[in-house]
Amino acid sequence: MSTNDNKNGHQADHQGVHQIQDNQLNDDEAFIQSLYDELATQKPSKDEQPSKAMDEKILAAAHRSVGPSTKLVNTKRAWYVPVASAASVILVVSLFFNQLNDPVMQSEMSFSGSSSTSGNSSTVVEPEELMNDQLYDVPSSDSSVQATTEMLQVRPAMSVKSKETLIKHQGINKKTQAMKRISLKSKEEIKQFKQLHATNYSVLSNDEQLVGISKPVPEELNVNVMTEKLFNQLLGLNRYWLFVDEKKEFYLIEIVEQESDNLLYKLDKKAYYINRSMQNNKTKRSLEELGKLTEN
Amino acid sequence: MTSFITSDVEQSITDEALMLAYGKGDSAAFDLLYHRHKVAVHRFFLRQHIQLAVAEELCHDTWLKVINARKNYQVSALFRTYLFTIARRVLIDFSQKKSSTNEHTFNEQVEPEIEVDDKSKTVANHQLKQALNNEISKLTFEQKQVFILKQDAGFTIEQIAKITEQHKEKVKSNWRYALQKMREGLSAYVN
Repeated sequence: MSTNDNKNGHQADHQGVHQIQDNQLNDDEAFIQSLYDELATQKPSKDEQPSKAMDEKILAAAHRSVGPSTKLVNTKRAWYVPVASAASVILVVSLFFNQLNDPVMQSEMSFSGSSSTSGNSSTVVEPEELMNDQLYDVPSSDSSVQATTEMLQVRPAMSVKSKETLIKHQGINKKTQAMKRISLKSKEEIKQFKQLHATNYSVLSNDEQLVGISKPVPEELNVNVMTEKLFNQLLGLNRYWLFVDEKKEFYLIEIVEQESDNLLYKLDKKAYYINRSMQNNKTKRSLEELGKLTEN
Repeated sequence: MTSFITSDVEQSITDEALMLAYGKGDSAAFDLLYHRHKVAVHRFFLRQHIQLAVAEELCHDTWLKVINARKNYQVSALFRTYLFTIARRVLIDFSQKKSSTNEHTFNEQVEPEIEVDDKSKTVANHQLKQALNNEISKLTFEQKQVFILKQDAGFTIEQIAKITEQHKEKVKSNWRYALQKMREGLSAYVN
């Protein structure tokens, strides 16, 4: 038998096997299909289909993925974000201005200003700076200190930063109180200082002394004597005068100046006379009245 | 986005066109797509001889994957092929998880109650159905996949090869062996 005959024989066998397998496959397919066809005549059971709940679940997920819900979220954010931002800004600004109007903050600012000039907050402050009226406008610091203490007790959940701020304010209040005490003390000192100063002013031997306060002056004080020449000059200027005091040898009067402090003068009793009614009624009078009296 | 689908033309629209429309935001397109294929996908999992609740869960996972992949969907094959490729991967993931935890959710399917019309015929059909499921459960995993995809879902050998990412001849071989086993087991039901 030749090799070609062998090959042809193998091929024929091989094809024959394939043919048998294909036939068997077709038979098996037909058999299974007949069973499936038989089942297909029956109504599909409920379990063959997914439940309605699952249908709704899947469809809802599909709609959420593309649909209005996404837009709804965007719409929600569209107004929510700017409104929230605006509210935050308004809150911060109002708190800032509220803090600015807070007397404690004002005193802090004035205090920091004074401390910056003195260089040390614990050092004695200049009396003139302590005359600042703002310090006297501060409400009772005791009550504000008490209020901050109460806030710390009542609001335990308050942030540490807020507590630190309140404690800082407490410290400021204490400082303000100390400053207030110092300033009150200094005010009295300044009053005494001014009184002394007024005396010194009147003591000055000068032709144009300035005296701010009308009060009894010691007789021995060296105040300008009103001469006739000076009287006539002042008369020409239509100046007014005020009775201040009567001494043994002279009257003490003030010449009322328009733009500056009054000038204090001695009037010699030999040349001038001021009656009791004029002495008691200390009103502003013209120098002509005074002149007439001297003429009489 | 308004749907372009009306009842007159919805049957003529291909699955691929519907999926593309859904990818562009037409949720009504998905509705139609889902109603076309929900039973086939559900049956695919039921035939795996797993519990009904588990089958529904796997079904849900499959459709969620389709939903999540809507923007990346490209028409490279039939939508059904794409859908069952996802379903098969979901099933494989589930099988691997179960085998690692040694949980026995397979072969525990509760048989549905019989709805009686013609009782004798219905009983016979019910028995046949049970027998079919039993024979399917005896197949190997690959044979089972090929058998269900070919016999239940109606895919061709070439399409199954694509879904299962196997060579066509291997799919054909699995199909042949699956049929032989099924016929041997169901020979008693020949009329």
